[in-house]
Amino acid sequence: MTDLPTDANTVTRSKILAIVVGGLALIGLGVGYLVFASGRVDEDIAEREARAQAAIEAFETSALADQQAAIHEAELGSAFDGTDDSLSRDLELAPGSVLAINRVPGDDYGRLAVRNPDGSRQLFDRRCLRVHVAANRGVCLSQDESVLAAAFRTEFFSLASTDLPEVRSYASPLPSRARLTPDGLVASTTGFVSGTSYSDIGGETETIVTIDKVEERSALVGLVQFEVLSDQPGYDAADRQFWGVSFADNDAFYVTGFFGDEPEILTGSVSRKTLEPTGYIGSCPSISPDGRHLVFKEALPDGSFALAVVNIATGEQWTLGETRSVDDQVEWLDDDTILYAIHPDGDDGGAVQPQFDIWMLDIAAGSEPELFLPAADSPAVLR
Amino acid sequence: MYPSVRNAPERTATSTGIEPTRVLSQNLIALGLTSFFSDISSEMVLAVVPLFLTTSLGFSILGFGLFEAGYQATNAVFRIWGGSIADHRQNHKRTAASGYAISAATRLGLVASALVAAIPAVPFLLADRVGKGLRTAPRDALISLSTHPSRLATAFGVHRSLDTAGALLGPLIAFVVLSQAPGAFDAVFVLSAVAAVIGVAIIVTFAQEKPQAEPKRTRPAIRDQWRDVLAVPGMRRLAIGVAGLSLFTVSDAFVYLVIQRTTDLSARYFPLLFVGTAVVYLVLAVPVGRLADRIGTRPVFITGHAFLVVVYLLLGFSELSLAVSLACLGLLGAYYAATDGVVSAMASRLVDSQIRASGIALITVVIAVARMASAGLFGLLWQSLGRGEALTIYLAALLVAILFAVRLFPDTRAVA
Repeated sequence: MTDLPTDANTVTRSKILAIVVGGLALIGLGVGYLVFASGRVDEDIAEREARAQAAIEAFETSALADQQAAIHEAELGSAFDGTDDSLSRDLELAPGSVLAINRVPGDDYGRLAVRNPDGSRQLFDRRCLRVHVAANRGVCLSQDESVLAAAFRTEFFSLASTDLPEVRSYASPLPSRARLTPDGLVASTTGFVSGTSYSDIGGETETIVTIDKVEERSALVGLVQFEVLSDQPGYDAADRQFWGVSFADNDAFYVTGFFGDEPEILTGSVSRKTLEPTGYIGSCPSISPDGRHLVFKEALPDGSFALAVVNIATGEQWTLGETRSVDDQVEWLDDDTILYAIHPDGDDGGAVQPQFDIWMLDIAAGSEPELFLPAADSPAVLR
Repeated sequence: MYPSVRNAPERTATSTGIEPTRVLSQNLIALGLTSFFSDISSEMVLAVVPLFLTTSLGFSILGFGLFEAGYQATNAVFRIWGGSIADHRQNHKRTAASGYAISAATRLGLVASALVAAIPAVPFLLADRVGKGLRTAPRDALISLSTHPSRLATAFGVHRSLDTAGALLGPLIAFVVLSQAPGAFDAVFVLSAVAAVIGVAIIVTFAQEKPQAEPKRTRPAIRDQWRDVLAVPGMRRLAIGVAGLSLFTVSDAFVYLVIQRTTDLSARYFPLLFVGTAVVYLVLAVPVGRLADRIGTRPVFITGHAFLVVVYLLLGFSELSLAVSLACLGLLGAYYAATDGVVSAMASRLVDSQIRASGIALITVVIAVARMASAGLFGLLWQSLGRGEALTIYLAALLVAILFAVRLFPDTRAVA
């Protein structure tokens, strides 16, 4: 290399200055955009929080809530004293308690909640994306907020005290469904290994169903390892997928299976590691506590879902009186009533803290849904 | 067509007039800073594409291996191309800068796709790999052409530590952005674009072409270029040696998975495995480069793989306590420090400056392809035989590959 011209140093120095100034200006622009984006997010959340609070207030003061409270108090006996102020009342979990995830946008979004009989709620510290409870145990599929990208955990917790202490937990994929056996000893979770939507099953979406003992480490088994007992061909498809387990008892369960055509419902046994087709076409089954009725999602041609119910003994099947699309695995409030979450009008679920309301519906044909708990999701009834 | 390779280092040293005492050339600083900023940029993006972490935490080991293979394939194809055209036109700076510019442009595409749902993000993520493939070999060639041959490993060490520092900072910045503005991926991409543009501005402004020897009237055809690369004495032996070693190199993602699974490490700490390895790499890159310049690149490169043997032993045959896991991460970082920059120095010393980018591209692509095959093979072995057995097989095979490489590697000691 030849010697540089004498003014090379000043040229280089001015270039360095230009890069530093230009770089700082760009960084300033970037930070400015971040401030703008942050303000946009805060504003959006605040606006939706106000809306959710208004909806809750309207709900709690409605005669409907009082009526429901009366019904539940009658059912629950003396477990709750309905005359107490809800905030000062001690948190108490008893059979009949309905847990859910608080979906009021803002700081309390995602906190586990228990619904008081009067329709108000009390919040726990634990945060979940999906929850289920049985006996004295709960399963909470949570998002680890402290790490860089989406990292999810399956957490088992105890209902023995109101701080809901953790029993055991491990890392898991994007959570979708969670159920416990009635004795609270076995859990099944569904996660998305890839994709995020059941409408794309067989395409991008890949799910994984695991069955796990709550108390034991390394007791996981994947449902794909179960043998399907059927004379029909096609059930051993390599790309078969399962999701949405519902336990009928401490061993038997219902689950959605997909074998390349359309999702159908199978029944299975945890101990025998077998599955058998039921013949019902649909997904996300949920069996009633008395084992007599099975509710599941029926795909409609436009891509939305209706809820269907079948009487297991008679095989009689009818569509429930919910006209909105329900993309949820329903929970049973009692032997005749289901609970499920749907997005309120004008919320497509794409927001940062998407909105859900929990609705209640009698399975008798012609019944109409009633709001059960606004700004909440993932109902779980303690039995 | 080219002067004898054995004379090449000496010739380069004298004809370019680079002082052997000076490692930090203007080009090295410029390229190091460009890599620093562009790694901040690309790691910011990778950190928020949830696929990467959900996949790494997912359950299908084979599927994970395949994913990694596809990701590296794009990179490999364009790396060969980038090396070819940079040598052919003798414009290493311009080719490298184009690669950085392509990646920077994809960030704007990502901003658009974050703001407009109809614009898909995947094409931009792939285009980013195209840019990365294009720039890698010309950039390394330019570093080598700007450095005295006796200081090559040190120079690559400096570059790799700046590069790794960017890779560490990127996810951190993404995390800060998303904690300030949850869900605002557009803000992540805007800041990522800022870092990428700064990187491009630095290379364009400060890096200088290093045209070699007398300008040729007739440029060799790219095919002839490659024939010459393959004819370089020792080139095939180096390529076969690194292929053997890389074929039995377990991808670090698998190492993290083994540690995470056997220690039941909380997902909270999973990214720390990467951070731990990268910090060790960052710290060791320069001293290990200096060592390689003093005692030779070959022993350092081979020792790096010996570290890997120890990692397999620890992973497969010990109780993975916290201390052992940390030792694994440390050894993995040391392995990177002893191999990643060092192999570029090895290739640089072997190949004449006229075809250097192609030579570097060839060796690094051989490594990439062998690692690709390795990821698939290891995934298969893990799923069919189990983790311990897969590690045992890799352990034995890597030992054989090391012995093989010791005999095979050409002597690439610098002529001081």
